[in-house]
Amino acid sequence: VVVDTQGRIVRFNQACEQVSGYRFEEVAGKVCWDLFLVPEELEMVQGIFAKLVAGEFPTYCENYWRTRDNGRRRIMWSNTVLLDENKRVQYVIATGVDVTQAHTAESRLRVLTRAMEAGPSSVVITDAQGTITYVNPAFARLTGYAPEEVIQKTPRLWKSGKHPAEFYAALWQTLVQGREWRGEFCNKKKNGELFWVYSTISPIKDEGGKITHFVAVVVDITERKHYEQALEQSRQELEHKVAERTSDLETTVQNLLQEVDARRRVENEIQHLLQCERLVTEISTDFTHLEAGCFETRVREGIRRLMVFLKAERASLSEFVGQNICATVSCHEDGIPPTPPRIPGTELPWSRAQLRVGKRIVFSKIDDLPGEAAWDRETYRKLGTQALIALPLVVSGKTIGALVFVNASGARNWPAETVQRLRLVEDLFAGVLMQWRSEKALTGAERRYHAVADFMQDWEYWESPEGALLFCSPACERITGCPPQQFLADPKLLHKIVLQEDARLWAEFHREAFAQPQERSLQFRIRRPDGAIRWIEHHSRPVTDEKGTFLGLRASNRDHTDVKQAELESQRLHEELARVARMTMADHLAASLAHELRQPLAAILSNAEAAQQFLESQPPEHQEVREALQDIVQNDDRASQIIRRLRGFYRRASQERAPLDLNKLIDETLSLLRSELILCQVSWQHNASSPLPLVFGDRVEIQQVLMNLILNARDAMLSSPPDTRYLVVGTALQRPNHARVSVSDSGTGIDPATAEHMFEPFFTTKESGMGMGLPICRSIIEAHDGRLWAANHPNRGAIFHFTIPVCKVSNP
Amino acid sequence: MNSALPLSPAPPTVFVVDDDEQVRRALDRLLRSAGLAVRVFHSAPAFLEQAADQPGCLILDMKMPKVSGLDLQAILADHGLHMPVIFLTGHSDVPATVRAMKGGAIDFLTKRFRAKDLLAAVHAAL
Repeated sequence: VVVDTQGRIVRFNQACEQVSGYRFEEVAGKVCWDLFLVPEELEMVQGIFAKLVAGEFPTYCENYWRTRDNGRRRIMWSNTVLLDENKRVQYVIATGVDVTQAHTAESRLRVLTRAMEAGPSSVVITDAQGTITYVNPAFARLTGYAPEEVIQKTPRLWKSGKHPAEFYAALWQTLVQGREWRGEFCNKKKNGELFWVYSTISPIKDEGGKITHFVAVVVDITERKHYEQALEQSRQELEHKVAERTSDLETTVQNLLQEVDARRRVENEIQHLLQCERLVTEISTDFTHLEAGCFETRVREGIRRLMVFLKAERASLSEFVGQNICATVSCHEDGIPPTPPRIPGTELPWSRAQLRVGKRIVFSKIDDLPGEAAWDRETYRKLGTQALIALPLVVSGKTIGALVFVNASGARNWPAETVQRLRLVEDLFAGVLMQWRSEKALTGAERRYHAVADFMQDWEYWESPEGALLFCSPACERITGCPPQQFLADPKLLHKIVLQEDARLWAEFHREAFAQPQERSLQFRIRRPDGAIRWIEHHSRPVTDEKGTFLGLRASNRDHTDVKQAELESQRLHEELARVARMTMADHLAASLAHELRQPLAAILSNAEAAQQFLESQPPEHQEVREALQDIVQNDDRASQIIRRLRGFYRRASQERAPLDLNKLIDETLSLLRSELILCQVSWQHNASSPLPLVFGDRVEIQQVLMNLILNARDAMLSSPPDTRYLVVGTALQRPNHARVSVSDSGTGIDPATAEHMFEPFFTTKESGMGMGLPICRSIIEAHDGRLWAANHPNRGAIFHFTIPVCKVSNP
Repeated sequence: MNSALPLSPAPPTVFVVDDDEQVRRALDRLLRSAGLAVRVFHSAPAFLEQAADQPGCLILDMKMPKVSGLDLQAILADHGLHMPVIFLTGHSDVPATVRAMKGGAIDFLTKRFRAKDLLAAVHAAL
């Protein structure tokens, strides 16, 4: 560019146009510095221009030019002047080179170098082989090595040995591939101290992409590492402490929970015990003022409350009455079968024995019962008892009953503590039971007292030891027809009016009564003056004074005629009926046996006639005759047996009971009735249980029952087709000590309407029947302490059973 | 009696069916004493099994367990076997007698009969 001395542009070459963006025409004549210079360099450039104009040339300078698009270009100028003829400066000629590019790189390098020199980060530069070419002052400060100590060495110098070989191999692998590596190093200072750095190592490449250098920028992180370590340690300590504390807490919580649990258990127990005690107290209060007549209600309420408390389903106050265990008071939950009112003690031998010696029985399930209680176990099973508490009620060392609580729906445990507590209840109920018993006895006494009052309506007299009547109540006239005065006048009058048949009995009684004074009674007959006969029920009792001196007999006489007559009538009727029944049966039997007899008689006759024939034949066949005669003897024997059997039945034997073999008796009876059965086309079978113990009974009577049942069975089948008529007589042992006989038929079975009445006298379904068979059978069997009953067979027909006690002494 | 000759006809036999052993033995002996061939059976089924189709006559106890004399008579009639039957009975059981005679019985003897009556009946039957 060429400017005049005033700075106005005279020439502006193409290079200028390119650099500035202006065209020459645009800048011609304009002042150069107004257009191009930046304000901060204006003074410096005007100074140089002034020197040029003053003749100091050439000059050099470097300054910025503003371009048309407001950019900046750095231009290095070399200036000279063009002189006119007078050697005066006419124009200034400035030749510039655009150095913008060079100027920027250089200044950056300078900045970077400066930064490197002054920066806090350590910088290490190595060549491609790893030889150190540069370290900055920060590095020297960090490591303690002066630059001259490390230049031309390798970074191995400060290796700490903390990193494995693989670590370095990976590092180099990364770098050699031209990629940057970042990571943490542990290094060693000149004084041996270890320190941590964070390193960024970058490969430097030339234009050809070849690695020429590596630059490592290293930041000291030793402190951070320390902090980290400290932090880690603190964290670990904290965690440890937390864990420790947590475990402590857990233990504490656990202990607390256990304590709470234990406390709750104790509280429950206490509450349960309190409930128990309260219950016992309340029941006991309830029992304090027991009035006659309210015993049962109160005792039932008490038992019911205990049952609810124990969560049992059935409860009873049972008493030992003779051989039986009787539920005096009982209660049960809905849907649970009640306690049977009477259980024979023989059904619960073990339990009874336990209670008798004052031991409790507690079981949670039937199988818990000991081996020796096998019988009881079966009984409990039958009673539906699944779990039980039985508390003995003991008074003065004697068990009078038991308090029984039962679970019937399933096995269950009884809390031991509660069962223990029931001791109070035992005493309570034992006391009440005793009280109740004496109350009952009292009631009995009262009843008797009333009876005595009634006696006063009867005839009472007092006879002195000398035989005089000291007192005679007016009722004697009503009963005997003689007024009291007559008796008082004639103490022997009573002896005189006693019926002849009873006179001896009365005299003996009267003599005994005075010889050995004690309470006695006698029934005898008198004849009244009007001829009527009266039954007298006579009671006499000795009268003594407070010293025990015998003062005579006090006698009460009741007119017993009506009762006695009814009794006699009934007895007579019964005997008559029995006789009639026996006769009816005997008629049957006679018919049957007549036929039976025909068989041997026919055989005898045929044999005899055959023998005659054989004797007459030529030659006589003696062997045949001999055999015929033998058979005749046998048939005779047979006929005798049949007659004996019939006689045995007719004979009213001594009525004495004796051990009987039931199976044998059945066989005999069946053979007696054989013809009857065959005639009616009845098949029969005897299913004998073997061995069956002997029974104790009246042979004739039992046989009568058997016959009756068998003939009934036969009659029941008459309307059925002959090939279906089937009779079975079976025997079996019935627990515990009875033999059972069952007679079943294949008839139409028992009509339910009939079943109700068939054991009643005079009831019959037969056209020619007396209606006495079954009632008499039943009375016979019941007189034998047995039972007779009937049922319909599941398939068809009826089955009659009876039982008879077996002999106590077994068959030797 | 031996009937081994193949061409001679089997001699007529008196068959006795009675469940009473002693009666059987007595009848067997009596009939043999009269020179008759006799076979005895203890029950109707035994007779049916062994001898029902053979020539002869049948002395039949009316009253036997399971299959009675009347039953046996009916069975024989059902099978077209017309063996003459003489009934023996213990009872004078009128309805049964009527049935027996209606069923074609030759004779009817009450038990404890005389030998001549039985033999007469048998000869009539044979």
